Amino acid sequence: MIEKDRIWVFLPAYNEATVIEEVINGIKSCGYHNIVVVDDGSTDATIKTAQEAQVFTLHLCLNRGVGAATRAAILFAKRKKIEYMAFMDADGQHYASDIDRLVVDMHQQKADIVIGSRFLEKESKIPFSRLVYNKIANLFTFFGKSTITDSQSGFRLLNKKAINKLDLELDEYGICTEIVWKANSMKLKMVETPIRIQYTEYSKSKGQNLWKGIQTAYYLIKNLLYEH
Amino acid sequence: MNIRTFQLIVPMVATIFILWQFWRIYKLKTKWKAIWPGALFAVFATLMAIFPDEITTWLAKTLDFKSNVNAIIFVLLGFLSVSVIILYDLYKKQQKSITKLTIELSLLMAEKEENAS
Repeated sequence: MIEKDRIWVFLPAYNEATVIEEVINGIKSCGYHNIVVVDDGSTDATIKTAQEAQVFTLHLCLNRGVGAATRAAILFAKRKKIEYMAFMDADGQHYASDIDRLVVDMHQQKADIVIGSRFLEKESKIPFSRLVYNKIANLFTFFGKSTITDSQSGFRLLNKKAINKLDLELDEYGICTEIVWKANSMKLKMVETPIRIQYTEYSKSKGQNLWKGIQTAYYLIKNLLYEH
Repeated sequence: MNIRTFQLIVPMVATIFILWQFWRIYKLKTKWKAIWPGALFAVFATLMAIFPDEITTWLAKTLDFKSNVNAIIFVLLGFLSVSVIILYDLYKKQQKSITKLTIELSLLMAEKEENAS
């Protein structure tokens, strides 16, 4: 079994000062103490709150998007030779205890990447707009020869092989699809695990909007034309 | 040949503009790709100012336009479209560089903090 102290949990965060402490405490209470908050140029007290909670921090001095924060996290993991890295949303919509599910599946199925899928969990109540967005985004991953049910999930676990092989380029939300595409083309074994999700008014106000969705689609179409 | 005022002003402004572009390459290390659309436009405007009738007539004949004015409008529209595409590409490359630098800086700062503690 994979020991908890070999797993580093990364939280890409942008203006999450109000919830970040609670999220960090939730992760710690599940026994994961290697936590890194990747602050994506927040203008509030996110970085200060994270430092007060005594976790590692990576501070991007400019807001470059969740993709850039993810890339910073992966580079950090490569340089520190981290064996396993888990990504979670910093807005509190994921349950920290679900990391265990990802870890178990990675171990049992010998996977390189485990993606937490909201759609495989029957109890998930996903807002209609998010559902539509995800279905459209899944189409793009399908073009990338993948049949992942929740390509836009920010909850995932990567092993050392995936950390070292993934070389990502996108800055924004397209990163989720890029990870699936590149993992596929690099023959990394990818599996999905059901995860629970709690949508609050706060978490619904964050994340995707139509304009970001269009930009993501543009990036993906451009890459699709270049690479396939 | 009567020289009209604009035939002096336009080449003069274009020459200053081109010299400024060369200064940018030399001093600011600006890339050729960023300056050539503007420089080309300056040369085109100069030629247009010196030989307005000859060039527009030649353009209209070559591109099979009935009117000289239509020919020059379409050529300029095409030029503008190409410029927008080139400049947007440059803008995206700059954005990528900024992201790369931001990421490297954050990692460097984290490393420094770790060493200090």
